[in-house]
Amino acid sequence: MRVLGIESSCDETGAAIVEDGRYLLSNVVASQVEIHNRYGGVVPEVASRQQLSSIIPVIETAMEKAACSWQDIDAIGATYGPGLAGSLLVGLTVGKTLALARNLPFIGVNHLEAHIYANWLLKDESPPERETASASWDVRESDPTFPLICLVISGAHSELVLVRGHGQYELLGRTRDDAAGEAFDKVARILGLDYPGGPAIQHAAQRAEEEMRQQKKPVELARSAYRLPRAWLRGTYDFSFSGLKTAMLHLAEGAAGYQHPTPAPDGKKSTGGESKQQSQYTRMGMQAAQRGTP
Amino acid sequence: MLLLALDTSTRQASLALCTEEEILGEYAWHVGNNHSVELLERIQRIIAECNKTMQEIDAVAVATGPGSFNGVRVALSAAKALAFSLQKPLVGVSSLDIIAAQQQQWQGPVCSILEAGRSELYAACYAFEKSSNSAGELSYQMRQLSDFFLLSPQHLASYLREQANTWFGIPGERALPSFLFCGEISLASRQMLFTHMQEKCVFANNVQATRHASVLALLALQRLHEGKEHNPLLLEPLYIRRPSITTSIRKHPLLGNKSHRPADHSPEGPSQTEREEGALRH
Ligand SMILES: [Zn+2]
Repeated sequence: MRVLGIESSCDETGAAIVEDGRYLLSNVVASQVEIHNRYGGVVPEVASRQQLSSIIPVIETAMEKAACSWQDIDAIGATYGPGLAGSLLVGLTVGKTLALARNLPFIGVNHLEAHIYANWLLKDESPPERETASASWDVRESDPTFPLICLVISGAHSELVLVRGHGQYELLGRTRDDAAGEAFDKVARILGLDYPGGPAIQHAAQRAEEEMRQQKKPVELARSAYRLPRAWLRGTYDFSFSGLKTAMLHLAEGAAGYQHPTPAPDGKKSTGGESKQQSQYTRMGMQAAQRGTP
Repeated sequence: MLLLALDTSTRQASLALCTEEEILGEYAWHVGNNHSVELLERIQRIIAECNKTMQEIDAVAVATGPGSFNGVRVALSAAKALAFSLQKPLVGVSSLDIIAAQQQQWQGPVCSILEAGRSELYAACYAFEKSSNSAGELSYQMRQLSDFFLLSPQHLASYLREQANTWFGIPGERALPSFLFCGEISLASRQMLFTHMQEKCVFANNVQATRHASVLALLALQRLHEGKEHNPLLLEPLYIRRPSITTSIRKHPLLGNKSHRPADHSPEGPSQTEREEGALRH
């Protein structure tokens, strides 16, 4: 069973072929990050236009990389939400039309549920040779075991989800205000750093630590120099990032010579991974999770 | 040749299944903002009603706009997906061409118009040449006189009055022909055009000027015979209007001194929520 999956919820166009629910045969993503960097945020109409330009080439490449023809594809899935309406419309319309043209079943998928299930993807394994199609999927020892808690950070969403079994979700907590990524973007703006904020803050922090090491100053001192509020709300599993953001603003305003930044977006690229950002979220999530689940 | 023609450029949509000889089925309906759902339902319905299968389609025609950005993208998404997966030729035709082609019997210049919002119009001008062959069959050759424009009614009117001489002969020698305006034209735009054209124009009834996908199919067949097909990987909509980009808010802190917020951003730009939503990446 091979499924063509299409994702177009924001500013990236993605297509992948997955076999038997787990084996990733190909995964192609067209990113627009360099286009949106110029505007300091995703411009919905620009994103929608890019989605339409990229979608068919991305699907064609995903099929090529998986060495699949239409005869090899058994179903089509596409993100139906949440996301930017104009962007979603492109992937969803293309997915439904492909299903109609090729007489295949179509499955609309929730973007956040897809994030959870990305944890079961087997990226570097080829599927075993089978006589007949397999109805259930291959289990691995390294698989996540139920019940489990998943921290989903995506777009406007920062959610802590209890997963009791396949498809059984319970929302434990969510952000009461900003999403984590949004908080990073806003703090980056307060500090006059680039967009997207996460990688920009990570790089700035690394640069600062590097400088301190060169000056033979203890790095730990800097790490505990400021007291910033935690992003979780006591007694709940909810997050709140606005307090952190406000505290950052006050801190910045209190600093000598601070000016509200008005940098013109100069097309500077923010490169780099999200590993630290993600591990930070994960730690936050773990702390919240520690507060007792069955 | 079996041709499927799709047009969701505006709130008025149309879909047709045609051959060179006849219309097998055609819908023209008010789709509102439900382009994607209704287009796919109706494609399924028209194929079933005409006892055809998707695999029997020989070519796909699509209206490329201008019009509603999302509306245009729905038809383009569907048409690209059809042409790509059925491996059949694709032809894109401007929605302004379709509107004009429906008025081919008018003896004079035709100006097709769609409302572009913000008191502006999408427009293009055409002329038709009538001819008949030895068998007495009448045909019209459509010629596009102007570019595709985005203009206010006043500017469009003054452009047309300037151009009329260049297009239609020597000034003072004979009376200039009347322009026929057709398409989706609001009452306000009509009044404005009528005044600024100094009444040298007439307006087609909006119902008569509703786009029909069978006309799109005819234009597409002609272009297909001329070898003008499009690559489904590359065909782009005819947006004409650039996306409105409000960068101002991104350059300034969201918190603190409100006076740092610029007051210059357009009140007609995307809503605050849309911009905020748009700022979220993952
Ligand atoms: Zn996401």
